[in-house]
Amino acid sequence: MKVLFVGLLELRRLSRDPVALFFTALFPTLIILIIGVAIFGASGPAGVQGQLGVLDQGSGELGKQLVAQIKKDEPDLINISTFDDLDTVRKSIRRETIDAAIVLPRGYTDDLKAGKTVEVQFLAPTIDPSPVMRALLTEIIGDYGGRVRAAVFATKHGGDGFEENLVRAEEAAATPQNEITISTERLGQLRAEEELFSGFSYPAASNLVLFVFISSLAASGSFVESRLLGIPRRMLSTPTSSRTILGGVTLGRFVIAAFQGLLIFAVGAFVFGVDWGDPFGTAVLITVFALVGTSVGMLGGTLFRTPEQASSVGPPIGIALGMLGGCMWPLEIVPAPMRTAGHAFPHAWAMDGFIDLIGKGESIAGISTQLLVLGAFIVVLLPLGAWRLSRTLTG
Amino acid sequence: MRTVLTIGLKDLRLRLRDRSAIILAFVAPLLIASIISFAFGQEPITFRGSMAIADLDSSDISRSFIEGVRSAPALRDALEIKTVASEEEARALVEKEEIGAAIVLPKGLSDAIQSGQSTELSVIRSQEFRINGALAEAIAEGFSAEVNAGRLSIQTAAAAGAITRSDSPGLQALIQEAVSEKIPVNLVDGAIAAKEVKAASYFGPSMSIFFLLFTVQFGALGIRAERRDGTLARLLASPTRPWAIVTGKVFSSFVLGLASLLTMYLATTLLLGADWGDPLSVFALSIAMVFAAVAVTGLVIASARTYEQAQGFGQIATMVLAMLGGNFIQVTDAPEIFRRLSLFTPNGWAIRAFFDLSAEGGGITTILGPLAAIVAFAVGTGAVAIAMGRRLVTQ
Repeated sequence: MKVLFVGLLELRRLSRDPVALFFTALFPTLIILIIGVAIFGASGPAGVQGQLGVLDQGSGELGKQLVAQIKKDEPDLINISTFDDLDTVRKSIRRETIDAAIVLPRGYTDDLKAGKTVEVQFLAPTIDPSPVMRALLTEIIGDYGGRVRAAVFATKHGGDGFEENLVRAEEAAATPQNEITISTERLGQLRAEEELFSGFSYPAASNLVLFVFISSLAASGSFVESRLLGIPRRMLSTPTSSRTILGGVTLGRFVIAAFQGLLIFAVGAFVFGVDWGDPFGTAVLITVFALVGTSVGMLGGTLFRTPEQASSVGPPIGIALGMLGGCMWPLEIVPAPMRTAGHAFPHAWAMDGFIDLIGKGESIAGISTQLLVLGAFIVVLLPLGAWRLSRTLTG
Repeated sequence: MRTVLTIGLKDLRLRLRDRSAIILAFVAPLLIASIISFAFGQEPITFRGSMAIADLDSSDISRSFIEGVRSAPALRDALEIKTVASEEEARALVEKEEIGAAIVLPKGLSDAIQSGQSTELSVIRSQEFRINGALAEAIAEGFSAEVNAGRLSIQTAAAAGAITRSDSPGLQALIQEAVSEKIPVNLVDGAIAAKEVKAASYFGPSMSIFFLLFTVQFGALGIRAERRDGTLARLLASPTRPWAIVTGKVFSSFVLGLASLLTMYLATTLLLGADWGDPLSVFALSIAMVFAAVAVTGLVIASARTYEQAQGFGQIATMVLAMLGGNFIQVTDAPEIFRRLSLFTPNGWAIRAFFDLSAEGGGITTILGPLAAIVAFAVGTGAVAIAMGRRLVTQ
């Protein structure tokens, strides 16, 4: 019973500390809101409209036709803005006012009419090279280039001029006869991972993992503070066993971490319509990870010497582990050794669990491996933290 | 003047003894910049995948397709090609995830192509290997685009009257020529910067600035701590002017901040191969940014009422500034408002400037605008901060 009271004390201290409240509840919510608005604000939920810059360096009639074709083929997915010089284009890509750009070179029309091959440059940042837009453009350019090829061929062997033949080619292309077609069969899970990574679910899950951990670690400072103030020692002078105090503190910290996780879950689900997948599996994953955070916080409470150390070291460690664990970017895109290194820490396993639940529609059975590994972290860290804590209490 | 130095140096010594300052100023930014640079530093396309091709046609055409994929320069190092005998075998391999994707060349492919009939290639891909699957689709689509374009050429030539009699001897040669041409427009990747910007060159500065905002708070917090602990009153009882105290603390923050930033510059350049750009400009930007950081955080800390509040506000302010300035959370599809908001933060300007410097080369002229903005921030917030600081010290 006393365990509950000690735990409640932790909660009361949190509720009286506006800064801690900010970081525990308000800040993560703010970030999710900001990311959510950023993703949804521009163009609506499902698709993201790509901003394409077009630099026409004097490409002539055919260049203009290509741009018109792009506009015609993908009015929803590609939004075109025109530029006059390369420096401005590059700057705009750096500033992220456009996602990518194409450069239509000088002499484009003349070269094509003469039967030569031309190159259209595709510019995109290394970090996010807009693969979808690139694929769309490749297809549009392929179709368009095919018509040019046909027109050049017909002009070479027939009597009429290029322009007429281009029109003929367009007419012929409009009623395709006997084409070679491609059919694609996707094997595997029900939900496409593309939805996960381009939607809002990933930021929600990764922020949950990130913040529960960082808050638990930074909150270890509160325990250091209470230690320095002598609170536990005074508690011990009452007929309260150190085990009760330990249990109470752990419970309090766990409730805060779990509350935070649930808050982010709720904001994601009810404000942004995130489908977290199997509810039972999600609840268990959040609870287990909250316990991991609690264990780490407990251990931190015994390792840091001053509260300042905890609050200054906590966030960087949390951020670094978050990066390694796939909270800032999916581990898919990093080199394999980094992916492996990331799995030395709990974040990566929690993210794997969420990806399976959300992206692959797994139930709790499907994430049992991840839960077991997270459980292992708890089994190692929690007793260690508790043991050290009891030593500082009684020693 | 000597008083300022004495106070400043004493403060610095205290900070350096406190490990949290060293961690925030030097260890954390380096650690995190390293992680990011390892995650993104390699060429994005060291992709190695595998593909199965089921050749159900066993014709010259199907064999030349396989040969073409095997020998294509872009694919040679990236893809391992395995030929299988049946579609079922290909599907099984993809299901078991032993192969990334498969292409099925249907029976009768060669006949269809030669007689101008339609036919269909199948691509089998799994949800697990996105890039591999996309590549297989792209290869199949590229092939079909070329074949279809060849047919279009013949159709267009016929419409232009180039083919008069279907049994003329030149017809075969004509068809051969039409079929063997290539689509004359290629989408190629271009460079978005005059120089290639490595991940380390972008994240080195942005991470340094993020932690800089934390690092420079110690000075102003120090004033509050001394006020709380009573040493400030004792200091004032000596022949020390209040402005000397404020300046001394500012001095210590400034030195620590600048040391942190310059250490990051050297470390990322030497260890991670980052290229921040023209050294003189880097130095100028660094000095301006450190001043602005000291000023902005000083203002926040001076406006709080107690030491704890100041600490908390300082952390909150840093996180908000970092979020808005784009240091940390990258929102690539952010609506215009977020990009504008970043211009209200000194760190937002600094990151733009460092990125431009890194990408465009050039000297001071590249960064004059941002530099002016940062200095304006420093002067504006600094003046208010100093006024508040004086009141803090004297009351």
